Amino acid sequence: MNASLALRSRAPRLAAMLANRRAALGLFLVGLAVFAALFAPLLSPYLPDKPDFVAILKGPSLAHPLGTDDLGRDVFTRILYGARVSLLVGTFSVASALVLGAALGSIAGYVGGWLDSIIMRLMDVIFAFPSVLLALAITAVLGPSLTNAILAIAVVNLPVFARIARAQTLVVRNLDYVEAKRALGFGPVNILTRTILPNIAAPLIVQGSLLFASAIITESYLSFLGLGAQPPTATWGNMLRNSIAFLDLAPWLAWFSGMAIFVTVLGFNLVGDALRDLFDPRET
Amino acid sequence: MLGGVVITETVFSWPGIGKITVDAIFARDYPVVQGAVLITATLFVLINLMTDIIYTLIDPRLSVA
Repeated sequence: MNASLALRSRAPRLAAMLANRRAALGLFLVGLAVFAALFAPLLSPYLPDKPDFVAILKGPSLAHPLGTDDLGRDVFTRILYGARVSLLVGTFSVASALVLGAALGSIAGYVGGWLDSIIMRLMDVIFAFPSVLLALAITAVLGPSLTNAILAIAVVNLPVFARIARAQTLVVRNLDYVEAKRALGFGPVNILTRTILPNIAAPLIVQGSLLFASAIITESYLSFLGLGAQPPTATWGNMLRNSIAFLDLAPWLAWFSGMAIFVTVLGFNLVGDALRDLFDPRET
Repeated sequence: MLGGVVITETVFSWPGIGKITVDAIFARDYPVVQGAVLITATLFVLINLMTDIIYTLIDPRLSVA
């Protein structure tokens, strides 16, 4: 019943979102990044990892719209392929943190007692570390790779989702419809997955879209420090790192990869803000 | 802020705790990594505690009942 209700109201919500100019801009920027990631091979005639030693550190030109880097690789192509890495990391780290965090948080909130204490104290421990530093430490221990970067960012975001899920569950668990299901003899698993989860989903999704942006930034941090996807894979972070050495000779290397990060993160933040306004009309 | 320190110190080669952490990671010097992360986390928690305390000093409504 809840799902159908959400479905029916989706169309006017999307329309309301597009009416908001900032939200429309956000959706456009996010769409741009997704488009770049999906159609990278079609949009550029070059390969992201193929050096061209005749065209090294060339400025923007018709052949290379955003110039070339120190190995003659086309910067435009690398930025397109870098979008894949960023969106991949954002999607998987936020999705896994959301699923696990929602599960842990709702269980903690619904069951309560010692289980609640154990789960939430564990989350507090993760929360006590500055996020970038914890992600750094985790990738340092596991070894630098894309998968480990995703894992590290997921762990860092886990307590955020767990806290929201727990707080929401505490609100919902004593409401009449949950009480009714309990009285009808449904078990805790059924109540949690079928009744509580759909009703606490909205704030989790909003938080997810906002954390997507910060996941992209953290990924850039990690690959900037050489702890994300390893060369020659193009990521915005390691392009930025690479550009530092040539800041005097070829400043466009830093501009364009930095711009890519900025534009995408701005897009996700705008979409996240719009989603929050939609789901929680009280705050506007 | 304390997370951004790592990037800033690496870019400008400032000899701070962020640079120590990164250098230790690449040198596979795990005790130093652990120590640096632990110190930063402690600072982080203490600073958060201090801001909470200052909040209650500034706004008496927030004081613990």
